[in-house]
Amino acid sequence: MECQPPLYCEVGRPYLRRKFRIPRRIAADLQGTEAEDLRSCCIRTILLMPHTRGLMDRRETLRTTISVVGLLTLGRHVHALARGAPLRILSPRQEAIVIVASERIVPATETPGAADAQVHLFVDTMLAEWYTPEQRQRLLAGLAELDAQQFLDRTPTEQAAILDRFDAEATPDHWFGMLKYLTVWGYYTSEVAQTRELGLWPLPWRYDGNAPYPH
Amino acid sequence: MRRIRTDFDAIVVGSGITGGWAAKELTQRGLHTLVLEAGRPIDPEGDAVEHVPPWDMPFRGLGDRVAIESRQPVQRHSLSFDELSRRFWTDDVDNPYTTPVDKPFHWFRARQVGGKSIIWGRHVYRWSDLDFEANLRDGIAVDWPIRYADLAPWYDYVERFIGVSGRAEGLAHLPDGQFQQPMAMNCVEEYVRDRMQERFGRERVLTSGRLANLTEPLNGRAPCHYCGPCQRGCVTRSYFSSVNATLPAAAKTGRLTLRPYSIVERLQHDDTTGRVTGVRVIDARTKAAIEYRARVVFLCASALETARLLLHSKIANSSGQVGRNIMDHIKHTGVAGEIAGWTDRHVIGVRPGALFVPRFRNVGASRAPFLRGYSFLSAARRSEWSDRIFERGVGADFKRRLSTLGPWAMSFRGYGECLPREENRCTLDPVAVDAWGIPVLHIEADWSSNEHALHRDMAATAAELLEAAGATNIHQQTTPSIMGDANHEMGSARMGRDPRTSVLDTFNRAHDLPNLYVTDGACMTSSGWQNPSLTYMALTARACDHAVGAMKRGEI
Repeated sequence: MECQPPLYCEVGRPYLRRKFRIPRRIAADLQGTEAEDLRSCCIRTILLMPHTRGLMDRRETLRTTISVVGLLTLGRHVHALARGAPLRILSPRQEAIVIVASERIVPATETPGAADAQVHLFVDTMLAEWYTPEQRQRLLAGLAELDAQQFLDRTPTEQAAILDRFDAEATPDHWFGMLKYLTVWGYYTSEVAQTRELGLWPLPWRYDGNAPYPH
Repeated sequence: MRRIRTDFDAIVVGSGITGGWAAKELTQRGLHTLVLEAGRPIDPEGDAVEHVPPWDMPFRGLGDRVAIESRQPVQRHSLSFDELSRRFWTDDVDNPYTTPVDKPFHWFRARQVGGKSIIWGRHVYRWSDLDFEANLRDGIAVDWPIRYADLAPWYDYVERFIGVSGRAEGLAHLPDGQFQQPMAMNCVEEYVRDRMQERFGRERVLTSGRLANLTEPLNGRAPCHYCGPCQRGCVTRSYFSSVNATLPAAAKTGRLTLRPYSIVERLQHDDTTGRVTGVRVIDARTKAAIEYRARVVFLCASALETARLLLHSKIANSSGQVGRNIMDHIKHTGVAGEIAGWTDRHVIGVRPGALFVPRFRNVGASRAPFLRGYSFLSAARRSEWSDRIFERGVGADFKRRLSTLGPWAMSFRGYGECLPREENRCTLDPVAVDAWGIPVLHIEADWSSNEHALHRDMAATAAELLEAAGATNIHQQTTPSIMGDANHEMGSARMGRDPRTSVLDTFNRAHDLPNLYVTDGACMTSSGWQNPSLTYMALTARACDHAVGAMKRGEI
């Protein structure tokens, strides 16, 4: 068998795909003797940056538009929001319950809420691949419990009141504790929350240990 | 078809933090060097995934629970193991080891080009004669065969190449080095530093962590851009690792051959000459056996892998010390307290390392009821949404509370020195083998009463530091870490002057075999209270210099 060449110095290909956006001032520091490959690669990245940015913005705009339309119909027909994304565990009705319940837990205010962040997709992934079958059944049984109270037919205020009653008695192991955890985690790690609610992205590319707050 | 080269001047087993240095030093000194890496190749720009945002991760940072619990039940305990960085740890099913039921040991392992240098903590501190003389002073184990003066020029040499950001403090027991600008403290950390100085003067110092993360450009590597998750790689090569610095430097000489997927099964030696002649390799993918020969062999496979290799090869062990004296640092998981004020301030960016409180126990006039000492890593941060996820409430008000940063908290995490003890040892398991049929280790190691005493003292003194800073609501975690948790396992083939009581001589060369060097953590005679990697690197560079000199003099 042939000895393999040192593969660790291959560079460049996946920059665009992985959204590396290296600011010009950082790339300027990469001028050097031992990283010719890296330098040329970074220059290429900068050239690609505006293009990348455009793609991102268009995609986000599109997504936001779809979501706003979805929010307007929040209520009985809400599952139209997620059409196109095949779910593995949640039935259309369960999906609708999750969308509405998550939105009541973390609602849209001056910033988007859990429905806009499509938390139900994260809930479905977690139910399909992360939780044990027993945990999955517990959460689905909880959704059935909500359905038995005609959750989807209630007014937003009534829906919030129902969830608040579960919240008062829920432990992290309770089905509502699970749903709330998934909602909060799914929301705050979503693109809308990380960019608009928390202001963490795009990356700051600097450190300031004494910055004014709120931003 | 090109003839496959199997004869080299030097073979380096492992491409991690010491293997990378051995590769660089040996190739730059003219040796055609074969580096054997058990794991896969790494493409830093393709495998570095530090900028993947959480919403692009399937489990949003929570990790693939089913895969992790079934394939990496040990590795998952490592501090920097996460949904994306898990690719840089080994598979525990393919790479098992055994322990007694009542003495768990966490052996964190990495098999890929770059080894654990991709996922290391990057804190780099020099040792001093307080450490090199410690065993002699305390009458414990054996004396180090070297002193600070032997290593100081090599610390300089290594620091200049890797790039260390840090602050000179003028402390005798934590010698200053070749530093780039230190990383900044945040507003609350500066306040705590000043309060500590008022109360403790120069006895207990809060300083910037000395980090192998650049703050100034160096050899084509850019300064840190404060994105946060270093354990996922670094596209700007801002932290030191084999793949970011030493291996490219070695490749540039044209004398490096790197062979990934190469599991060294045993060392070959010649009884008549008393020399190592080469290694027998099993290809990780095909399981075919290949033999390579060289004039000198460097073991840089990580402390316990090196012990395993020596035990399996039945060499270099006339002292009976191979596999013994396993050490780690005992960790205190944290003492934290709230600091009032600064609610109109926050931190932008993520600093890649914590602050540091150098050892103050049994230093100078200090006398504590235990041997040696410990350091603290420290940081101040504001609590955020993930800290309050279980708070009661639903709706807009709940969302507003979660989205707002909470109060500041200052925390101290202790790392304590571990004494070398013969009974902390690894042996070859008589039954179990890994996925390639190679016998695995049985590790039997535990803390002694001295480490437990250090651990208790950490909690008390950390609380004193917090009280000096006026902290309230002080919380403590008081469970000692499981041995191995600090990722600082070392000592399993120690250096010493006497071939009867140590494995390696003063230049990391096996007493029994003059062309075998061991420069990974196995060589450590004591554990120190500092992070060990800088010392491993300095010892490696020094040993390479010695080996090339010995070859030129015709000794090898």
